[in-house]
Parts: sequence; C-alpha cells; structure tokens
Amino acid sequence: MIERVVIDVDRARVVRLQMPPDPHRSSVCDDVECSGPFEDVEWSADGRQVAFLPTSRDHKEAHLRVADTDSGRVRQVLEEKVATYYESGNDAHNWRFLPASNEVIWFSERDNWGQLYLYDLQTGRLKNQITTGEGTSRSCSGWMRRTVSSTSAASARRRVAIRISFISIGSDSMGRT
Amino acid sequence: MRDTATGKETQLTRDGVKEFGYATDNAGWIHSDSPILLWSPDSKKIATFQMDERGTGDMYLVSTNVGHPRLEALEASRCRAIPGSS
Repeated sequence: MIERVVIDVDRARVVRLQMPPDPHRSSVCDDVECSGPFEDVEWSADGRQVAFLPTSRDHKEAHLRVADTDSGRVRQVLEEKVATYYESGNDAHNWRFLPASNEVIWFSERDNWGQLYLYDLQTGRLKNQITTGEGTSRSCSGWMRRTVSSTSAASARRRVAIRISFISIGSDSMGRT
Repeated sequence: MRDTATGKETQLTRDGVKEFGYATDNAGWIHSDSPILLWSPDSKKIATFQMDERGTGDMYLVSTNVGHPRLEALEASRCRAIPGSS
C-alpha cells in the first residue's frame, strides 16, 4: 500500500495526505509508474492543489480526488465503478485536471466506447459528454486552458484496418474539426 | 534532492525505513533505483508516496541466458504483494 505525501522541497516538509493508504495501482497499469512519471497525478499551476486517482487492486473502482498540498486535506470529486476493468487510457492516463476552469476531463467506457466527458471539478457533476459515436478516444493529448478544448486521437473501427484519426473538439462537444 | 547547479544535497525525508521507504520503485520485476514522483509546475513541491511493504514475502527471478540460469533472490522490499499479504 502507498501513503501519499507532498514534499515542500525548500522547507523539506512532508505533508501526508489525510486519507487511508491506497493500493499500489494506477488506472493505466498494475503499478504506480507505467511508461511515464508517477501515474494518475496532476498538479495545479500554482502547486496548491494536486489531483490523483486511487484505483482499487482489481481495477473495478477509481476515485478522483483533490488534495490541498499545504494542509493535506483531501476531497473526492467523482468516482467510476465498473463490473469489469477500468482503464483511463492507453500508455498514459486520459483524464485532465483543469482547476483554472473548475473542470475535469474524464474518460469512461460507460456508453460501450471509450469517450471523454466534462465534469464540474467542484460539484463532481457531469456537464456534458465531449466525444460520441463509435470509436475510442485513445488519448486526451492536449487542451487549451482558456477555452478548455481537447484534442483526442479517436480510433475508429473498420473491418480490415483500425484507423486512428486525430480530431480536435470543443469540450462542449461543439466545434468538432 | 541535489541542486544540479551547485551539487548541494538536501535530505527531504527522515523517517523512511527498509520496506517502508519513500518514492520506491521496487514492487515487481520492473524496478529501478530512481524515485517515483511528480514535480509541481513551479518546482517547489513533489508529489510522491511512502510505500509500506512490511508483511510481504520473498520472490525470486530466474534468468534466461545461455548456460546455467542465475537465481536472483529479491529482497522482500522488491517483491509484489500477493493475495494474503497484509
């Protein structure tokens, strides 16, 4: 099990997040480091908040939480519970912490395909579904903070070949290009 | 933490012990001596963890190579907890 901490490096101060230990898991692989750095962790630009995604050992539950990095206080934003196996993306997590616009981009296969959804960061309420249709949003590879537009590589299923198309889409699901 | 400009080292944590260390990358056959962490954008803070591996048991790796295989006994701190581990 891992006990999450935030270290203030100038003061060498360790803040232990106020929550029980988490399984040694992430939503991308059976480890907390998959192909990049510490997986399922995103910082706010000012370093005052950190978002993270504890995942159950059997990958059936994931809980998106945000911690105050000074006090260690933690609050839950949203959770995903599935009967099979929750993976938030290929190679890297597919959710994005957007404190500047008070939003979260979330990945779910709840409509049978992997899609991106936009949530309110404060209330945890679903605002709208960002991507739709047949094909999985494989990665939320970029977004603009001001307009909160995401770019996803949507893989569309074909009989013979799998085509991966790059699309840019507004987070209100309008403006698909 | 080492300042790459001056070489000065600063100890950040003091209560890490064997099998309950900070930022350890030792759970499983993929392991390294590098810490697992994520810096804040302003490089003032680090998000990481202290991993409790007390109560896990030993595991072994057997090499695949020409000639006799080598048996590598992984320290308890290097093994993956299995069902039944506390």
